[in-house]
Amino acid sequence: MVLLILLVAFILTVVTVSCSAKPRLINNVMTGFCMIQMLSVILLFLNSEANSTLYFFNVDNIGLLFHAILAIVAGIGYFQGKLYLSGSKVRKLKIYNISFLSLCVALTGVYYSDNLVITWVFLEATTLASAGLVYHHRSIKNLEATWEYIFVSSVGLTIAYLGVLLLSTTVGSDGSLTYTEISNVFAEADPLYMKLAFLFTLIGYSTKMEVFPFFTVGIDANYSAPSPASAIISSSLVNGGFIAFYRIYQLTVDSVIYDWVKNVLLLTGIISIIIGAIYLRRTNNLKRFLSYSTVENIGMSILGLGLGGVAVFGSLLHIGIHSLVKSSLFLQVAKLGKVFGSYRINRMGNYMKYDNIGGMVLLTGMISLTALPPSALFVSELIILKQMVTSGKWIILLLFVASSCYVIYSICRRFLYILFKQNNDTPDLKILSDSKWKISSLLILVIILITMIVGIILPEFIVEFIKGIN
Amino acid sequence: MLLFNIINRAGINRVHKDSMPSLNSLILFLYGLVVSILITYYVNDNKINTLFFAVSIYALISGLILITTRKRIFSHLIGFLIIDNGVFLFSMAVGIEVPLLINTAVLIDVLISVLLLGLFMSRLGNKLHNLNSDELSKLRD
Repeated sequence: MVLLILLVAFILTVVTVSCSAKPRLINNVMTGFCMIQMLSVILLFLNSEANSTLYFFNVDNIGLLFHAILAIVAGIGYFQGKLYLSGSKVRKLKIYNISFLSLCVALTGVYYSDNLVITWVFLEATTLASAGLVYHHRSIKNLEATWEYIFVSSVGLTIAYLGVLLLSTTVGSDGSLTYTEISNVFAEADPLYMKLAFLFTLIGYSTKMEVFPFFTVGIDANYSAPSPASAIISSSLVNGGFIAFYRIYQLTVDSVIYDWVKNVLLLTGIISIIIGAIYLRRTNNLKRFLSYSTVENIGMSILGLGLGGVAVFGSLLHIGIHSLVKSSLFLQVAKLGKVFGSYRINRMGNYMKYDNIGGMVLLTGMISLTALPPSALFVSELIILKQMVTSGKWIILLLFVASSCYVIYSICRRFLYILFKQNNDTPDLKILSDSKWKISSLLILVIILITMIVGIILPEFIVEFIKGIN
Repeated sequence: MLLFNIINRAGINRVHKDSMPSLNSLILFLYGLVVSILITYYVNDNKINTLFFAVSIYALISGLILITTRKRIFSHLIGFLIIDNGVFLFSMAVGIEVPLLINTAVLIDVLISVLLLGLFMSRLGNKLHNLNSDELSKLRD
């Protein structure tokens, strides 16, 4: 019922946005949709005890968690998007907002989908919706990024479709393709087919999850899209890819191929971490910098899944907290880009002096992202490390620790330069004095501080909620 | 006649001069054929249709070879369409009869035909005069 209301709200908002010529009406309608989205998450959470299975959808813990993160990020992202795009032409504003809406709804479909094929269809829909956001600024570089994004995502998802086909051979022509049905018959399936299916889906969904091998798609998409849109792409869209993959991972947990699956995930995870760490240091663009950090962090989550045991809990906690922290940083970077006129790190400096609240956001975000205490990512990484030691994976541990040290050094160095290094360029003082940008920074700071409090206290209801996902 | 008109107007009648020589390309495709036959014999199962399976694997491999070895963007699109057909053949090989899956495979075809070929080819054609992938290398760190 709630999902139907969300769908109706989406259709009405799209029709209103496409027909109206006044930015104020567009902004009001979009704000209304963001509020309906937040309300829908609360209603779904309160009604989660009741059987809320629709034909192709099922509301479960992991879907609710990611939907809640989407609602928060989309709300603040839209509020900042209005400021970021003030002064844009109406046509560009319409395309941006319709793409934004479509992405939110497509992601909701991915989170709650109970059917193998429907998940795939909604993920393909997110490709189209994101393309509208990536091509917002019409330049040759952005056209190249959009082309690459659509082409490589489509190739990736076509490979994932092969995995879907192989998984569907288990149920036969009469069975439905729900995850529950497949999990019932998975034990009798041919192990070779299941290994191939898992491999194809991992490779295909890596375009969305931003892990090895198809991680470059997300990097270029984040680089080209406006920063408020990058916040959603690097957090919620990555969660969408992760949830699609995680449902297939859950199928393999009690099967004969689980040990093989864990080895594949360990390899994928550690390669992603190493690649993220190396490329992080090489780039001078702040958005690409944060995107490579995403590759590294999702690699850690995949590594956690590969270790199994208590590390799966750490992996799910890691991805939830990371999406809040990363999206907050991208939203603050939107303001940095406006203040300094570009995203080049060597042209930024002395930001703490110009903007106290924004500077605090960057400082707390830096502490959170590098998983230094009291960050919640410290807790999740500690759990993953603990499982690594318990399992005796010493080489993986060595590589993980070396990469993490390198990443901590790179992030701290860059962020501290941005905050405190002397800078001779003149910033945009109009943006700095705008109160709406300050409110946006304050909201972002609150989100990061809440994640830190979660890291210190780790409330029981969150632990039980995440345990309920397995 | 119509096809020749389209090819002449689009200016895609020649392979790019820096593309892999045709003999090397042919040998690579031959290797792909041998690999697909070897994979089919390795997977040798009563449940799958071996002819469709071998052809679909070959279509996948040749589509990927076409994308990676060619410079023209149009060739990349043709490579993708070949992969797409390979996926459809794969569904025939493993004996899928679920209508939802078949319809989804057709959806990919329609999506790529309309979106990539129609929309973005015209956009790229307006911005870039020679549709080569060399010119799409401005994004870097």
